Amino acid sequence: MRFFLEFRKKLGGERILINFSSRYPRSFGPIQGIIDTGSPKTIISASDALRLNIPFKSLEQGIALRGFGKGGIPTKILKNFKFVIMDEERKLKEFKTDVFVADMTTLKNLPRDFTNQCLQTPTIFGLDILDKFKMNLFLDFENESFSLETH
Amino acid sequence: MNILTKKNKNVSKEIFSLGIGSSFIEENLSKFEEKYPDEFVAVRERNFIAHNENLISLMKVLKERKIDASNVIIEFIPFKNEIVLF
Repeated sequence: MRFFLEFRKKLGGERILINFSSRYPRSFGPIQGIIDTGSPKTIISASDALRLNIPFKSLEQGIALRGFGKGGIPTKILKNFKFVIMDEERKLKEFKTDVFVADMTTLKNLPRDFTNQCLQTPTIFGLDILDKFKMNLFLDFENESFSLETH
Repeated sequence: MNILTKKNKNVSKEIFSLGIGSSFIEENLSKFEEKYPDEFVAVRERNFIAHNENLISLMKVLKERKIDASNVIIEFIPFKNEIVLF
């Protein structure tokens, strides 16, 4: 099964992007994530969490994420996060796994400059998902073909 | 899985719409960098909806305009020649 990826400029540089759809109860909607093999974890961004009305209050506290030039971004754990990706034949494949989500309830009470910086962090499709679902990442720059493949 | 139900059609449509919106941002990125640096933009398919330097304020604008945010792409536009690392 092959899922096509996008390659375009986002946040100032070229990125590999994946389009998927959240099927988390009462938080349905499409999400665009950056494929980041340098990130051990998958993180749903604050803007996507707000857009999809993710119910922060009912979630367990997650780890703090530290990035370049940032303090720890507070997170919560979205257990059994269900999402679907569309394959090259336009069939939908469903996945379910735990992911982290930027914790807007805590972020809102932190200093404004820090919060603004955290809000710019996009959704990251990390190594944990690629590993868990045994996804192979293919980047063919010469032919401009980018995909994830799984069995 | 993979049965063409109405629900699946809606999900496919959502993912298609996201791709269309993403292409629209790519095509208009230079313009956005000129007009809205250091701001968030909201786009749905090939329509520019709104911009704001503050994400919470942008969400309020969408709500006031009764726009379903779940089908909108919100993207941060950095200054030209600036790369965001995380």
